[in-house]
Amino acid sequence: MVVLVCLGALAWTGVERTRARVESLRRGEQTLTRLVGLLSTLTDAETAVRGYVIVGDRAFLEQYFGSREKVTADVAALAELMSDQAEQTARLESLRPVIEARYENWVQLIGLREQEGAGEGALALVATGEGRRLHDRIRAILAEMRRAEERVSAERGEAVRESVWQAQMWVVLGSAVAVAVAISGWLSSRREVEARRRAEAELGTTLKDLETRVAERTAALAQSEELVRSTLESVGDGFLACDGEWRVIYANSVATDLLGMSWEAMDGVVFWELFPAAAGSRLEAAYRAAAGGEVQDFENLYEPWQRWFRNRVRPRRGGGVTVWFQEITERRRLEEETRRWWSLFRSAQFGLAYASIRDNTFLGMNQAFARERGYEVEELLGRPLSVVYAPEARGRWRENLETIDRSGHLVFEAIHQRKNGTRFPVLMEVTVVHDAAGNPVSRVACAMDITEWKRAESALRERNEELMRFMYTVSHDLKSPLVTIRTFLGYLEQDLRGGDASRVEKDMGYMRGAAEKMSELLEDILELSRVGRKSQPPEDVSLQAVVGEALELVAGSVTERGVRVEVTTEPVWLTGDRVRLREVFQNLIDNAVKFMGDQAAPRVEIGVEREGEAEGANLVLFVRDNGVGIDPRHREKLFGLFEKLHPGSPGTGIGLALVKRIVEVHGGRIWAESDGPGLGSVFRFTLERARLGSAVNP
Amino acid sequence: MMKGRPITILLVEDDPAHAEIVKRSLSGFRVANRLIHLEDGQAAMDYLEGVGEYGDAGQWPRPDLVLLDLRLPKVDGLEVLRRMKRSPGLQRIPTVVLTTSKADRDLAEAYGNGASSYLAKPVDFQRFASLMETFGFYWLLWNEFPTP
Repeated sequence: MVVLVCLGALAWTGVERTRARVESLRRGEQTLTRLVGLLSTLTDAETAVRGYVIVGDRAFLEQYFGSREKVTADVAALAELMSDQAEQTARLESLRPVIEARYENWVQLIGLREQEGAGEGALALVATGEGRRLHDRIRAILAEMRRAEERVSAERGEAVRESVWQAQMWVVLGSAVAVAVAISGWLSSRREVEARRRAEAELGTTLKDLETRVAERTAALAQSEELVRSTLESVGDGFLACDGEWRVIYANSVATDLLGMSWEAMDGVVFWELFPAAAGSRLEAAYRAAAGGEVQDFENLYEPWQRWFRNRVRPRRGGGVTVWFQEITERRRLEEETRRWWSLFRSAQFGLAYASIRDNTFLGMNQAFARERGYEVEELLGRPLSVVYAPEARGRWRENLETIDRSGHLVFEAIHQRKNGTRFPVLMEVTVVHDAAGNPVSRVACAMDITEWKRAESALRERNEELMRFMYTVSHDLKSPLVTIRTFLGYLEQDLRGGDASRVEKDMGYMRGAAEKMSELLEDILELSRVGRKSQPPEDVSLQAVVGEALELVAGSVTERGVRVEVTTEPVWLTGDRVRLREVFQNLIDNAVKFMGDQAAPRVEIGVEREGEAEGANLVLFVRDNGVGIDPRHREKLFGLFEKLHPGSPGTGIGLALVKRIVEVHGGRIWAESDGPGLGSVFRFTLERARLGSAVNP
Repeated sequence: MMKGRPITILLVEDDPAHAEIVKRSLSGFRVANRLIHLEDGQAAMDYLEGVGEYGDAGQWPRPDLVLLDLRLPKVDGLEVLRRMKRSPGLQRIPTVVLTTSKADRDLAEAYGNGASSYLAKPVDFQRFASLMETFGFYWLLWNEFPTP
């Protein structure tokens, strides 16, 4: 009887243990499902955030927001399911902070994207790979948990089978003992019979219970297979599996949809036959590597379709591979476009920048913009826009900003300031950029340095004014002799009628003088117009050679007046139109001799001085005399066209105007100095290509 | 003649031929008028201010009327006009501009600086002769001059 009770107890215990083990097996299945579900939720969330960052459509974020709750539920359920497994619980605990970090990363990404609109910062954050690292970490922990769970499940299955067998053994043994006891105790008390009957009943119940449990377990297995299948069907990614012979053995509906093939067309067909273009490509290499045990995660373009896919390929237990994939053609296109614009922006030679409309600070710019202003890009990021505007130009600029924000676009001129405080004129084109909801978020500016334009503009204005002055002078000076000729022609007629011979002679003298003056003027105007318009190719010539030629031409008047001429012996080289350079000295020497006055020891000195102390200092050439000098009051008129300080002196007054023109055409300037009437004068001038030295080409 | 005293005219003209035309035109008015001819703006100022060689007021009388060309050596006509009108002793002397220029800027500046009249030399003998005759009648016969 005791033996029987023991056997019953043993059988009972076995059944109980079996029940507990079946229960833990069921929990294992649930754990696996949760693990798959958790990874899938996180992957979907990542896809959603990435979509939002690239496209900016908030619809993407719904999936992301939904994921948070699902993940929390999954983690809580997993904690509960694994509460009896110390190692798994430890893994789960190590997973929690990574998931938190992942969400923080997303929150940051979404925040950046919302704040700035264009997404440069967000893309930069993506580019740090932080998200990718976190995701890989999550995936690794989950995979580890899954492997552990699968191992435990396998052990548990074995244990269940074992305990069922043990329970059965105990029952069989119990039954045998019971039969023996029944036979030997046929005559035993009714109490014993009763007890035995009760034990039998209990055993029966136990067996029945065991059968029920086994049936339940079978149903649960079927159910969990269905659960896995429905899970695979409900994830957003394509999933397919190939066996060791590369035959497709599973494809979810997303996969068949993405690949445009029915399951029937794929079922059991060798993958490379379905996708012949994949043979020999990166795709094939990756599949084979995965089959060999290396997990692959890569993006590829399937050439025949011109579509991009992201593939995560893993070795499949039992041979072959499993593939998670999603189409990323649109994302790649957007990325490509973004990259193209970004590289255009960065490499443009025009200064480009964009700024926040909220607080007028720089959000980004290309190197051209920063460098043109003497900064590095990093120095200007986040700084107020006003740092690049010259203080005196800021008021006008603020007015322009108001106009831009009102009209959305403006082209205007402004004065910008470099880091070192120097200024330069710019032409700005500014456009307001809006986010998807139509709110203004930033201003994009294209800035062009127009220093050269401005210089050319003012040079043109100067030339124009000079031309106007010239026209005025010429018309006046030509009209004057014409008035003389016409008027004296009238007098001539009168005087001829009156027979006044001396008056006739005088009249004709005035007319002759005026006609000569007119032809002289015309000659001079032609001469002046030739300077700079038609010039000889530039020559290297020494100062002494040019002055020597000039002196030959004025030798007559120099000798006549007894002027002593001194020329410097310093080696000076000039480059330019040799004939014109000679004319400069010829006119200046001629001028000096002409206005020598009653100087008893007339002297003209031709030499060179250095302007400033520096090595590359300008050379200043000079022609000095000890003649009548120049009244400082008349100095400004000296170089004017047809200006004559001395009414009676010969010439039309073109000499110095011509000299000035030649000097300017040679990139120099000329000025006159004198201590006053009677104290001599000195004409100084520079020439762009004058230099000291003995060689022609130093 | 209607005038009780002779009129002194200062002609500032750098072109000797034009000066001769003015002299000939005004010689028809046979009164004891006196015409002084100077060739540049600096000489004109020196004369008016009685400095240098023009220091002798008896030999070089103060003019009643100035006939002024604009483009002159050393100091141009507009500058002479400007200085005269700023000088308390000279500002009341009527000054008539006689020049070949009809440029708007010259007209504006001449009147702006107090020119009494502006005459452009015609490029035609008859018209020039007629202009000078009219000038003579107007300024030498009819015009009243302030007492110096």
